[in-house]
Amino acid sequence: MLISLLHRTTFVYAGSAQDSFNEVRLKPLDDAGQTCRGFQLSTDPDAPQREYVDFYGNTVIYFDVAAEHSRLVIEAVSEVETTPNVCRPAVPVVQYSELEASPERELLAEFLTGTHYVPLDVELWKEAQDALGDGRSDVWSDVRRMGHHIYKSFTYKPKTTGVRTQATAALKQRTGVCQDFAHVALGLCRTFGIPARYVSGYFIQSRRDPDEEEASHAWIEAFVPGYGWAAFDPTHDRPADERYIKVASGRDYSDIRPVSGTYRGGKTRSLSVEVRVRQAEAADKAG
Amino acid sequence: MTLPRKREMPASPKIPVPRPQANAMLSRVAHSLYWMSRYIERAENIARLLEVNLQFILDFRGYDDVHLKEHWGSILGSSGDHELFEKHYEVADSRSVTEFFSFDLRNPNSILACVFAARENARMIRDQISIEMWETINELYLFLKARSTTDVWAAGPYEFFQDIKRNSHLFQGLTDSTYSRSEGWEFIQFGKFVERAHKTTRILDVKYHILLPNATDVGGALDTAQWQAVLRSASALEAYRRFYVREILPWKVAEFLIFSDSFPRSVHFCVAQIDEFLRRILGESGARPRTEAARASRRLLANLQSLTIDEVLRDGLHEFLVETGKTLDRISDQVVQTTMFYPAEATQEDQQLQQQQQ
Repeated sequence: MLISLLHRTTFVYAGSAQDSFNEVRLKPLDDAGQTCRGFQLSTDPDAPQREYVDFYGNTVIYFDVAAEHSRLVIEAVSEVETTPNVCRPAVPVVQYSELEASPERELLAEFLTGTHYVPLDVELWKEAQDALGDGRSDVWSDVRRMGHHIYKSFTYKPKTTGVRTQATAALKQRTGVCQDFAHVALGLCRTFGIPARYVSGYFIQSRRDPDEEEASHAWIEAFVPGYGWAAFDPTHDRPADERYIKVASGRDYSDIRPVSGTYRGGKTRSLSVEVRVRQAEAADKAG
Repeated sequence: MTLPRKREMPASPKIPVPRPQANAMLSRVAHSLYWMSRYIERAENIARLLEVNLQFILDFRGYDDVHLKEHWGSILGSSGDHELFEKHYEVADSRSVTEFFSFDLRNPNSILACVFAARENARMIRDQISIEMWETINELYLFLKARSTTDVWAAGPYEFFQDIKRNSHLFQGLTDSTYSRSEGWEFIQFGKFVERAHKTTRILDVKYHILLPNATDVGGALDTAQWQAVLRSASALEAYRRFYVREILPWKVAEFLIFSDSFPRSVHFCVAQIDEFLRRILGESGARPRTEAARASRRLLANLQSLTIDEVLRDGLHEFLVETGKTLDRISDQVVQTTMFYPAEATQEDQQLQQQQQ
């Protein structure tokens, strides 16, 4: 599936800002599931861009705006081709003993420990026990069961959590958005010793209300030996498929912040994010 | 098969390509160099002031309490720390004033506070200065920290103040012989001479307070001794003697300390250096200065080059010294503002983060 993406972030500063240094993680990844066919980042005010690949393999573009400005617009336009569902191999059945014995597990220590957004508190462990009430089976089935448990017992409700909400806080109130669902899912997987990482991206909706706001999406990937990273979306209770576009992955949200940075100047400001995900062929037909 | 080729001539030695210099200087580094240098010079000058005044009291044991109080009061007045002192001490006597100016960290202008500040600045830029420079400051700091007013009085204040002066001179000598003549050097020198010019006006002004010339006293033994103390506190006694061989007269001392163009602690000499380094720092190459600071320093220098001591005395020595001090403050403030300072109101903010919420 060929998908075109637009992600526009607009910062408006009270007064003016200057010496703004920013990092952007908005370039779609290349992996077995998708190929990035085109990517263009533009900023207003215009600034020269440079990039590097971070520890998790994400492309980070950075730029700075030294001059005074009252607003900053960062627009990423990309086109991604995702691998059709029929070409995706099934996730194999792998027992916990195999996972523990796998040589890769040693290298994935950072996806097993607690992080800022996902502190491995006892509450998460209890929740994982509840999720797998009738005992463990194999790695991938358990990941799906835990994801399903979150889907069932949480209510998707925007504005009940914020960008800084930790998994433990979201768990307490059992509401949140995809970011919180993903963080909780990470916590559950990790308490069971399954390496799991946070994935940032988008997904294309087959049916869309005309005035429904689109936004970036988040889900998780769990490590299954012999297969690699298997993606599951607890917000929609399904494995990620050809409708999902991956942009970045990391231990939690703080590793994949789509736009982050610092500046000097006015304190209050507004942030608006506009995201548009469309199937590219459909757009061609319409035009 | 290939035959071995005839041996080639050894290549001529390559002309070494000069490496690009790291000549961009952070304003933070300039700021630290400037204050490191200023604080060391300030510590030295406070030591000078205290030392000479202590000696001076020993010369006049006949001083009664009222005189003594006046005497120390004038020193407090000269540094502008009168109020601060009265907040923390009851009487102004040799001990309390020495304590206040040497070790009291509540006084930002005490020797210990200055050396501490110099050391903090040096610590931030340790990679920029030689290890010898750093060690000198550090040793001076440790030396001061290990002492108290009681120790100083037990061992003799003369030695104590000598040590501080010696360390400051050692530092300046090391800077001279180990620091590259780069932009950083200009900031170091600028800071040093601004502070020195300033303190020379203060030293002269203190005496103006103490010895409001009682007409009958002028030229008397007391007066001469006091003006001699002024010279000594600026390490200028010998230099003065070579210049004006005979007697020590108030206006001549003032003239020497203000106008001498060869004595390195005179106001004129310092301002000439300030003007030179300031023009280099601000990149002022034309005959007419472009910046406010350069204009002010040029004007001050022109005054010091052209005025006579008679004119200064006629309009009031005190007023002249205060005005000069203010001009120096203005110049240094402007240089700090334009080259080393980042406005405090522009605090660093994090960009707001976007929640992933579809």
